[in-house]
Amino acid sequence: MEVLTVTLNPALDREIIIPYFEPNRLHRIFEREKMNLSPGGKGINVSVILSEWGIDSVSTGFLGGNIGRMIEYEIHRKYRDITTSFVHINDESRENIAVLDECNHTITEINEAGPTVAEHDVTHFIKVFRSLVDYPKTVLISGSLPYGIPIEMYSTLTRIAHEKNTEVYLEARGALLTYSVNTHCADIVRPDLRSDTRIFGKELETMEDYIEAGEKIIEKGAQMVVSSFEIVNDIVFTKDGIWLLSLCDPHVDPSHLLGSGDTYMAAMMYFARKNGPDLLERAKFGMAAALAKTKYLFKKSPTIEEIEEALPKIQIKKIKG
Amino acid sequence: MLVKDAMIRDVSAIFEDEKIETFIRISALHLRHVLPVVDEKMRIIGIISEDDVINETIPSYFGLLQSASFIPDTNQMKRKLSEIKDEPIGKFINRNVITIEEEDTILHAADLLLHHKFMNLFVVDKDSRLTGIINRSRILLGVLQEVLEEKAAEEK
Repeated sequence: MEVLTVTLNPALDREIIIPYFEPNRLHRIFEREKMNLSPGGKGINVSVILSEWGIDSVSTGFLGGNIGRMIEYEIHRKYRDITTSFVHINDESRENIAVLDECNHTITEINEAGPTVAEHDVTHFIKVFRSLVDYPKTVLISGSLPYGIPIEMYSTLTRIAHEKNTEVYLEARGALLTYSVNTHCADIVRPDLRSDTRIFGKELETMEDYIEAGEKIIEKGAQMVVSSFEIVNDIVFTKDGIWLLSLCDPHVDPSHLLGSGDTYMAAMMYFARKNGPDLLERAKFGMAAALAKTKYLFKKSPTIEEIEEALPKIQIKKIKG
Repeated sequence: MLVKDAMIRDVSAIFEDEKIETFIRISALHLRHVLPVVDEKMRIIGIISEDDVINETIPSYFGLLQSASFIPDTNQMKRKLSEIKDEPIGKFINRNVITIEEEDTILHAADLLLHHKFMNLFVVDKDSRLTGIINRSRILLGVLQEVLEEKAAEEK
């Protein structure tokens, strides 16, 4: 098993296509393919993408109730390359509903908050994680914390992984990201800036702000930081310098970039496994994957060929170092 | 057909220093009668079943009785369970565990299940690390699928 992914707050994603959707009306769905049920949550998404590229992974975290069992069942039914090791809890896992209206061009989303995890389940989970992390070369920790999980969880998991010399990829946002980086920093860090651009308690606005935050994460011990900047650019930080990765043709529909963060992370892991440890090339491959993903509106991953075709569309400029 | 084609890739497990209470909780929430017990490298070292725990909570003389139906309440069981609920499961596990590998045939898995009257069989790799689980319905479904596929091919 090559990769371990951690999703502490998984979801059952339900996408429903309804033309001319409006409230106060009965909508009947006659065709089965207008409804799509898929296991979700950022770590699980990465496992799914890796599975489509032929890479095995183990997926762990918390699942609860019948929604939790459905998430697990859907993983087993659809993806042979994903092994599950979830701690089953008393509370129900969350369900995210998205109504897609292709006629009015609207997306209506209803996202549940998710369960509360009891202390004894946290204790059991840490033991499970410790034994799972012994084998894979890479761990990915991604997404938000459900209620009941202490904020130090991600730094605890990173410390345990580092004890076994396992490389850790982290994607998180806001206060959780700041705490995790400060306490025990992961190796590859991608700040999730979709809904919160605060890192180290400071709102990121100018390019200087982004550079200051990225350099600080490198100082805390990360090998590489990949930060999106003004949607179509990425700033990549390593100990050797800072680079700006941008698209040769910046005209990308920003709504298509949603969900591309998981593709980005999965692609960096894929690249490292196939082509070795070069950091900048790894980030470039990740960005190409995110770009190739913009061809698809919904949860669907690009093929490796599509990523390779997208590679020449990215230009690299060294900013510092 | 091989075990790897029919198994469920789930490695839920318990550790020998965890409590009986934890076992009861996990087996109930995960709908599992038996859980594999693993070490800190996911190597299987034993199994623990609901039977093992129930056996510990009923008085030892029960085996001599024809029926326990005339015993009016469950106080005995409650008292026994409150005594052992915080004990590590290590005391109660069966360390004589029979496992199977992914490359074994499912005929071999079926034979082991019947011969030992197991509900599940745990699948391991060359280093005894747990990789999944196989049970009767997965074996039957796997064979049924092959039968149907062969039939469809013949009809073509």
